[in-house]
Amino acid sequence: MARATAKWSTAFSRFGLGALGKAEPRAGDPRDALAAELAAPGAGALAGPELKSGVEAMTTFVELAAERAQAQKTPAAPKPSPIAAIFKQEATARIEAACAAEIGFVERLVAFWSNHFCISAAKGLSVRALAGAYEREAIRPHVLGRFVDMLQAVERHPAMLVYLDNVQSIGPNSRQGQRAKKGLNENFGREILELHTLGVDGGYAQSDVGELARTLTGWTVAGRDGKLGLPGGFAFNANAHEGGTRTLLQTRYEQEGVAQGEAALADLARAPATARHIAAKFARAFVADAPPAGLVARLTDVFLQTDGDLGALARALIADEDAWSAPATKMRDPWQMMIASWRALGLDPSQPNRILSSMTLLGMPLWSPGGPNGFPDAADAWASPEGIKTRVQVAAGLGRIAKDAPAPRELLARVLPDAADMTRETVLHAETRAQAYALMILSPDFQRR
Amino acid sequence: MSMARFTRRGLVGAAAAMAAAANLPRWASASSRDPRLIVIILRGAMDGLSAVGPLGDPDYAGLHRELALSRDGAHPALPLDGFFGLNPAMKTFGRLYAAKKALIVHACATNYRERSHFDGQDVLESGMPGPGLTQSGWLNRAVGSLAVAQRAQGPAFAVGYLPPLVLRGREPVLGWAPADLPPPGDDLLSRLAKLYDHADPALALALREGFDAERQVRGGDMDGLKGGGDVVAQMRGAARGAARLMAAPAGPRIAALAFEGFDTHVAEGGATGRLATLLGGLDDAL
Repeated sequence: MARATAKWSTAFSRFGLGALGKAEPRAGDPRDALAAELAAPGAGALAGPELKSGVEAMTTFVELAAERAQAQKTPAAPKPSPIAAIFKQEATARIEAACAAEIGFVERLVAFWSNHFCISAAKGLSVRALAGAYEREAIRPHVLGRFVDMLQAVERHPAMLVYLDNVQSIGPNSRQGQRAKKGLNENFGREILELHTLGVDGGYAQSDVGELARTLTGWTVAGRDGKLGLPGGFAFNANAHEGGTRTLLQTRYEQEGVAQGEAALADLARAPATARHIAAKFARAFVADAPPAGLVARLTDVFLQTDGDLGALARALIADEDAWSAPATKMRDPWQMMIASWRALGLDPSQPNRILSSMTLLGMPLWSPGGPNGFPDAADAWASPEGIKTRVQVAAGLGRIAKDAPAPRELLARVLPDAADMTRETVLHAETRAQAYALMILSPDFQRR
Repeated sequence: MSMARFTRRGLVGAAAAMAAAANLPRWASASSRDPRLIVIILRGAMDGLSAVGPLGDPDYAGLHRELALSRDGAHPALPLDGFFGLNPAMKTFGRLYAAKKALIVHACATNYRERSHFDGQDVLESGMPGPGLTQSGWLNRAVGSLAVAQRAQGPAFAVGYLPPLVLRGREPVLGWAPADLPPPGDDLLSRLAKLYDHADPALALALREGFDAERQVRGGDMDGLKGGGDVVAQMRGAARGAARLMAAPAGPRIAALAFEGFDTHVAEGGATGRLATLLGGLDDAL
């Protein structure tokens, strides 16, 4: 059966990070190009000699904390923060990967899953130190792998265990629970059920939250003494674990130790409610705030039939006619807007400060959402009066620094080949190149996807 | 077409870009004085007939209609040579002209005849025969042709985040920008509002609400383009900074500035509208 036409502009805006202003227009079927990006060896991976592992980043944090405690006793001149340096290196690596991608579908998938399983660098210096490593270690290896593997990797990563306070959750009947007066922290269990897996309507009860939280007690980060494991890495602390059989969603878990939590997470990953939750969120993020029901149903089936193969989910999305034919009603979020602008105008990705500060102004500070539900993906959230005003200010500035961009007419042909006549006219009749670039970035054709 | 104006220490002259480029080295060597050259690009196709109107032309008032300047009325044009009159917003320039310290070279243009503003500016600033040849500007090349001794005062400098094309090229250029980040400008807003009105009502509404507060403060109007106060302040700030740098004994001798907003195809308004506001800003800057 012949496939309906799929536009390159849709590939770049809906599934990618925007066309490159310096690249010639593409030929062929964009679905094949997107599939090729998924099939490329090492897709999603990000590494570099300057990038620190989570364990190294955590060690830097612990040393800094010790140093600062010492400095309170004997004040010394403040030094530039090694954690700010780590964060900037990680941000630069992410921005460079996004700008270098051919279309950017894989990087969009990384951003989607990173936001689904978000942590926040605003939690404190330790999460800030870990934010980039977390994405590279827990998210990226699995964006085209299995959901269950990503879930297991995410929930045992130190960044997540600190962010959702599981390092402070102690089984009331555990050795530590008996000794100290600390107790269970249900935060981690609740967010896993509500946000990471089943979804808020996923059919669980408050008792399930408590049972999952108890199952996961003892999942923590190894301390400096190294008694529990590599300092700064994941550790299971048997002394904080609530022993015994747990019952979660009518299933009994009789395992001991860390195996109990792993078994519970594996079952949650395969629950039909999780498939529905993920499929709907996936379609909403890429296609429309209210995605076509048929599309969501088909993605749900794929998720269930492939045991949560996220590569298969991505391939199903780009093979679906509904995913291409839906009108462009969503807004590019600030990350997408900044990267798409950088790619269009050919700006230097090794200088991330302007992107990072603009993202903060636009309400999307990198790796720092306001809550564990992540940044919003609905159009209304980004098309607010304050948001649009800030976009205008940011875009006006970008127009002024775009010194190596192609002439507006050429750029428009490459970046917005299907732009509406009015957009074309507005951009081409601009008073200056700087204004033309700003108007192109601000046009509905660029902002909507 | 935009006009280029050249300033040499209080002596303001306007000349065609090409002629100036050719003359530049000779000026520098023939004079025992210590001249300065500032090139100001007014971006956006300024209406020269409303800046300097041929009042003596019997067809002028009829053809230029409500945009035409006139000798009488509430805002009479400033007298120049009897035939031409100056937009009343340019009082300083009018005084300089009367004192024979300013000159107008009217109605000269490059060979570019299409309607793209940036292509037109590319030709004007590159000094090349056609658009798209934008690797360097004529002023930069002119600096390169000066003898080393004549350039002892250091590199030319440009006002703004990016040097205007006219000053870009092989020769090193100093940059300087006013400290405050300039606001997007009424002109960009008005164009964007028009586009959103046409194509995306939700964004149009958000844009209006977003800038509502600012608009009230300034008394400007996104649609009517009556504002421009910020533009004038920007011009003055940029010119003051440039003057301070160039007045210094060891300061740069050659500079380029670009002022935007002269594409006044809406609400231009002859002697009192947006063009007059902008010309007033330019006058202040001079």
